[in-house]
Amino acid sequence: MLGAFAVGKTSLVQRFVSGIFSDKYKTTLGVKIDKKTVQIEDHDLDLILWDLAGEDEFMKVRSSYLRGSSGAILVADGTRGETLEIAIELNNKVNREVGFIPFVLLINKSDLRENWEIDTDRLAQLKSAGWIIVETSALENSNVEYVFEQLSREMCQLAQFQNA
Amino acid sequence: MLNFKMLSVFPPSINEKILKIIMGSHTFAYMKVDEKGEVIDRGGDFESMGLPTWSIGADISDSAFFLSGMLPMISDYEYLPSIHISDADVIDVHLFLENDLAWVIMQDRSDDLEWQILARQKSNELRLLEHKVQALNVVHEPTPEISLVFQALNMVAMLKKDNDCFELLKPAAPVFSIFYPELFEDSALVFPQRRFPFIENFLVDAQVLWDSKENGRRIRSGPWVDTTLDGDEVALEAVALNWEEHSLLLIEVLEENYQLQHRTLQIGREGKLAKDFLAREVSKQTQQILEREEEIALRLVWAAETRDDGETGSHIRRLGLYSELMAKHLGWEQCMVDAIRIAASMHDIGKIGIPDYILKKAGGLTNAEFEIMKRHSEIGAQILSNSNSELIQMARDIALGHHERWDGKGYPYGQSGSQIAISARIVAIVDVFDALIHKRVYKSAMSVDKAIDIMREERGKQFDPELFDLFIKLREEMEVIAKNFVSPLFGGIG
Repeated sequence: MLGAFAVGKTSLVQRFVSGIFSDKYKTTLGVKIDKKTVQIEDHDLDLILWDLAGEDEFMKVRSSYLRGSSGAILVADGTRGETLEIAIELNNKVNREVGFIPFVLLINKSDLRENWEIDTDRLAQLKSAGWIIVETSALENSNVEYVFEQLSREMCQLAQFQNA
Repeated sequence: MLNFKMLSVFPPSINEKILKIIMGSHTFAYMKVDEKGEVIDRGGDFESMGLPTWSIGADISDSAFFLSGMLPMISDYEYLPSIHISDADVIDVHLFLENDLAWVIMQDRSDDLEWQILARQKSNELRLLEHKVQALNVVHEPTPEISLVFQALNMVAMLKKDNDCFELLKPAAPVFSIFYPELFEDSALVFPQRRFPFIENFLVDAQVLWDSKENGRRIRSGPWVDTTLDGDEVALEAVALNWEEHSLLLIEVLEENYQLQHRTLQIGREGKLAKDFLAREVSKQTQQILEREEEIALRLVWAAETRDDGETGSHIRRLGLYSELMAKHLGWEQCMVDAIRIAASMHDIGKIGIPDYILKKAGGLTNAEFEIMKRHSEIGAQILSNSNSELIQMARDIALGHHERWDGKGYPYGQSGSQIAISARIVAIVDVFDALIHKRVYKSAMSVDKAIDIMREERGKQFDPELFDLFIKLREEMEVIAKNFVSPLFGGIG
């Protein structure tokens, strides 16, 4: 999970892994690792989720944390326009450190749509470049499971392709 | 403690001798005190016991703290052992009741205290030694002494072996039992990378360090948060280091330091979020205020100019938008761009001072009538003068100068070139353009091409040449504005 601070990375993981949500903001320091098993086409897939501390002027994502990743979830906060560019820059970092891996961009906090500042033209640009962009809400549990399952599917397909 | 029963066994002469022995072995002092605490009689060595020398007649009920609550006596005898007068002075106090008076006998026990302290010290040292011996006896394998240090620091230390396994330097700190119980099993060989995916990642960098064989060099993994068996979170950090010929992996449970770092980061980020939120709110509010001011200004100006059939609400609006477009391309600051958008609409506010018969005259004006009409520039400037508002000051400049000409042949003052405020020079161009391409009571609308041809003749004469060139460059966008803001009364552009 990659993104600026306070975009909802930990909330999305907690929603997915434990089914819980807290509206209290608690910053992540370092890395938080969670596990969940999902079923993809009759196979059990063990996901090890690395919830990385958000990137800002206080803290940068350590490149070593990206090593060995099979997929990336980039998260932006719909109510804070600048977090979109941070997510895009983090994707560039992933590409530099790890090479191409399946990823998805989440525009989180869709429950606060009336306060959204995300540049829709920029999103259209990314979509036309092939990015998968999903609007999510950890609070309302909207599209959370879908995103993890879709990414898991893509990671499996890529792994099968690489093994073939 | 005095055993009175024993005294009744001995003959009085023996009791007297016992008393002398006791009195000789310790320092004593006495007071005879009434029920209110007043000293009736006294004697003995008060000073060597660290006691004040209370005089006869003194009220000691407050100063003799050890007698607090003891007077008046309600029993024949009271014993107060080991009263600490100071760090070095300890006394026993015996109180006897005789004929409603209290005999207070104070016995110095300071020498006895010194021996007690020494004895307690020795006893504690012995107990600590026994504890250490027990601890040493628990360890079945020889361990580096340094592992005890790691244990004390809530760390676990492991020696890197071949084949990806590690030898645990026992004993592990007890805290690890709540999330890494494997460390407390019999085997000394462990695989921390199987328990912690984070360690698996870190070992890549750690191996590079160990391969370097540089003694004393170390790297830290950065903190990660794992979960105990009870589901609680625990913060950890790994350190890889080279120690003499050994490759060591340490895993530390982070405590106060991590909490402090976390709190600091939390405060910093909450502060930033609050600051960003406030900035957005201020921007929103400012925008709302601007929009409100603009609407008020436009409505008021339109109301003031509504007598002039040529000055429709749409014309006023268009002038603001044309001017805004020019200002943006001139690189003005946004606040000034916003200002000209509103200020331009007030260019003819001075017409409020022009009589209707001149203002609404369908045909041409006589010289005398034109002279009156020309005054609307100064009237407008007067209406808008003496303001601290940058917007109103700009509106004043526009009202006063929009009929001046670049070549100095304009009015009211015949200013030329850059003497004329740039805002007025902009409005001069766009006002003429909009008037030409829209119908008026005294003329029909003309095409944009024709209007520009006419205006081009005035480049460098009526109009600032550079501003006019910019206007031409922005022609297409000007036409979009012209088409989108059409007066319902007079129709669109020609």
